Amino acid sequence: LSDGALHGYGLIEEVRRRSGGGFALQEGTVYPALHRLESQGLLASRWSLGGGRRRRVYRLTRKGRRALAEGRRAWRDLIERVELVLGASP
Amino acid sequence: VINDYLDELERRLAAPRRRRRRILREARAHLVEAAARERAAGATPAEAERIAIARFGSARAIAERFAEVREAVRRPRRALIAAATIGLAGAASLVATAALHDSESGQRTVASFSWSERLPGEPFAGDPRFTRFYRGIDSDRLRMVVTAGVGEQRAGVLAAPGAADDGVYIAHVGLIGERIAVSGEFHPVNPVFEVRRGRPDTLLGWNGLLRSLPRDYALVAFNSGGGPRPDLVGWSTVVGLARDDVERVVVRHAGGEESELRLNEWRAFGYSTTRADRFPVAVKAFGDGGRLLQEITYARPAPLCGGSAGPCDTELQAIIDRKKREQP
Repeated sequence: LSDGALHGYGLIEEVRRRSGGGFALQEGTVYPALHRLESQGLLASRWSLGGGRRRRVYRLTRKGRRALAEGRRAWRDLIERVELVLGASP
Repeated sequence: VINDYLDELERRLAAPRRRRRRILREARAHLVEAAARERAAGATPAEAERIAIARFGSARAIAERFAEVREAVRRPRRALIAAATIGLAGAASLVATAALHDSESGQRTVASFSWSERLPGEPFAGDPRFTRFYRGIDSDRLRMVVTAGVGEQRAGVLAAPGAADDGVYIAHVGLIGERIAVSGEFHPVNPVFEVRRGRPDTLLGWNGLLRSLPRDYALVAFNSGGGPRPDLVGWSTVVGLARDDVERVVVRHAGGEESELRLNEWRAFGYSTTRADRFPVAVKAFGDGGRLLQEITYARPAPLCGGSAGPCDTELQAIIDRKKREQP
């Protein structure tokens, strides 16, 4: 969502594309997660009409962007450390 | 088919009318779009709807997830990401400490990390190719490295640092096409599930943001799948830990069969396969008297593109073409 607003289906497709298919998500579980993040003020949503279909589109709030930046930092740090532990790739 | 599914979901949703209506509208929009994609890829209308629903997840599971969200909102608000960041930092620090400690004391391998038993014919951890993953981890500091799932050029790792007795860290590393995907979760619970206190309110990483676990869960499990090329799926694995009152863990395969997964000395279990009909689609935990404690369902791993997944973009197609040339 940092690149722009997306509806749930689009978000799943994007995660699939960016992860190289590595995350076999149960697609329906994305929506509870989105609702939870919205209830925490990290996302905002509205109905949108696109391609003849009505979809709920989500975007990051300012608070969400701050949280994302913080999470990204921690995540990169974790990856670096995991790679240190695991050593070379298979 | 979609209407029947939405009827069931509506019956199972415990939410105020307005919220229920919104959830159902979102679910319908998703299913209609997913089914349209399947039809465009050649599925019949009925098949397309069935595939879309299977990927979406059972009505029961989805309703449970929404119930958890509702419960979480009712509890005093906490900053999810902030808490997650603390959890990540904690887990990373434990793993890093183990690695640094090892670099001082020389190369060691974890004392034991293989399954107590594997299913016949399935590739598993213990394969010498994967043991090197565990070099560099100090077995004195890292209480558990419980398993690996394997596929061609792939490895999954489940690690549970228990040095501070404060959590279970699960990391998964996989090579997909040309990319390395890493994900991790930190579960602030007792690492051997000796007690049931502790609620994993926050989960981390890609999966953490997109998944929530039941509050009182019997299993912590991680499922992944992929293939030798972005347009093929060739392996699927599930690894996890079982709470101390779990007596049996059973995996349901895509073909409908079920197999029991033995727990190892750390109450860890795992399963990995390269056979499509044996892909795990659910893991069930049974307690005393055969009582079902928890069932986790999984979507079958899907190719990134091609076939029912739709056309491949330029970047992925280039990878596929090269892989075909290398491995016709």
